[in-house]
Amino acid sequence: MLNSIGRHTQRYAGVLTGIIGLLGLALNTCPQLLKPQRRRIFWLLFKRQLFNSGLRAASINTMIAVLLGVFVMSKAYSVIPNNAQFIDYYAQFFNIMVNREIGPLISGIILIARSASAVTAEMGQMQLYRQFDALSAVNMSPALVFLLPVFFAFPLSLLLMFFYFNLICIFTSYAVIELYHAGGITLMSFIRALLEQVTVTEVVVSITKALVGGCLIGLASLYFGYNVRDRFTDVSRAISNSNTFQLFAFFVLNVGLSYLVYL
Amino acid sequence: MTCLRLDNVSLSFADKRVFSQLNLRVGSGEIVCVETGVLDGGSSLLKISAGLCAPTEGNVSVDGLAIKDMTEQARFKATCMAFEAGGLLSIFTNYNNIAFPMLYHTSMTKAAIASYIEPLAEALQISELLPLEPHQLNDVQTRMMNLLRAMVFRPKLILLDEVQSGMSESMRDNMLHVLLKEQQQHGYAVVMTVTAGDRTDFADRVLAIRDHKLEDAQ
Repeated sequence: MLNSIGRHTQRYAGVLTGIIGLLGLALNTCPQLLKPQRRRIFWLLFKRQLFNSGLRAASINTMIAVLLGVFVMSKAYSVIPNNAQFIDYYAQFFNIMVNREIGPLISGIILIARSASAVTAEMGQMQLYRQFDALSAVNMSPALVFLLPVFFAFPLSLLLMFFYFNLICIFTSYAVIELYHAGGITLMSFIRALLEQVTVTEVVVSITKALVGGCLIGLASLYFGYNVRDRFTDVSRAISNSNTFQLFAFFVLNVGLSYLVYL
Repeated sequence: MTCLRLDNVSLSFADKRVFSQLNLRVGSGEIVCVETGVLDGGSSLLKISAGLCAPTEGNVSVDGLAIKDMTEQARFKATCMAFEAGGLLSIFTNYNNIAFPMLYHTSMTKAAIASYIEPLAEALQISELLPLEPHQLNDVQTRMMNLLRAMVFRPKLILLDEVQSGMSESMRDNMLHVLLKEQQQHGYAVVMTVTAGDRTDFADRVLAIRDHKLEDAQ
């Protein structure tokens, strides 16, 4: 058992070292973006990555946010204390449940399931079929072509997904209120009540979760994909290991930050 | 003037020796064919010349500069290799496999790049393949796309790995006609590996790999 714990610790330490190495490489490659030629190729690839990881996730993000909005609203109804001002109570409930915890977590899980596994598969297949040789043949830096677009697009995608998720949840909750609540609450007063609950700290924590989490998820995808060797099963193993690591790391980051700041 | 120079190049993979003290000089604008057999190092010779594979010993220079010391920009201008198989990135279309490196290395506009690619693709009769993706090409089409890329880049040295393999006679004749016309116009040197049945009559010299070295073909 001790042997097993030691092996797993060593493996995770190796992954973390690799990811830190990729982070260093990404930062080291950034000055290349000062050259206009490099910037235009980066921009094309960055837009492609942002489209794939951020915008194409909008439909699944919407569906989950709608379901969650309905669920949270009906829960709020069932636990609302007597004599409480419904709108204030709900705003507080929404902020703690959705804005602080569930929104970031679900957005991260969607990013991991949809986009991070796709990037790992892409990289793994390229490694398996020696396509990095093709990149070397045209003297293009793999760091600029693959690393930087993911490094920038993933955090931005996650940030957009947080924002989008919360927005859909808010509108869905309001739709449920309109259907079932006879109090005549307007959309503006509902939004105002929600905004009153959000502090600057919460905004900073959410942005930090998105930027650090997105960066970690993206770099882990590249790391596991790039470490594919000669067997075809290496690709599926890389996706599986990558997703496991990303889920664990993102959950630790989410809970850790919330624990440090809110408790 | 010497374009490609290989001095005392040796190459080994684990316990397999591929080249031993191999020497080669290719002049500017010269066309050299290298006859190769199975696993005798034809592709490795081209990869060493392109700087994609480091020799165990010896020096490689293109246009007087050591290839290992070149920046990626300098290497892009110096040499381009057309692969026998693969060589194209599956995440880009065939067109972007050619256009993206040019966007990356030069300040040409997209329209200017298209004006390089399209006439040559037309001449090679592969225009309809440009919007497709690499997995939609067969082996011959993949080699043609690699060749097109090398010709569009117009480096000082083009390295073609068994580019004639699998082609029909008319396709081969057309490909060589376009290649020789472009080569004369832009003056680049060409090293082409060939196998049994390939044409070599257009070459200035024909060499063969024997006993881990290059010799004149008989």
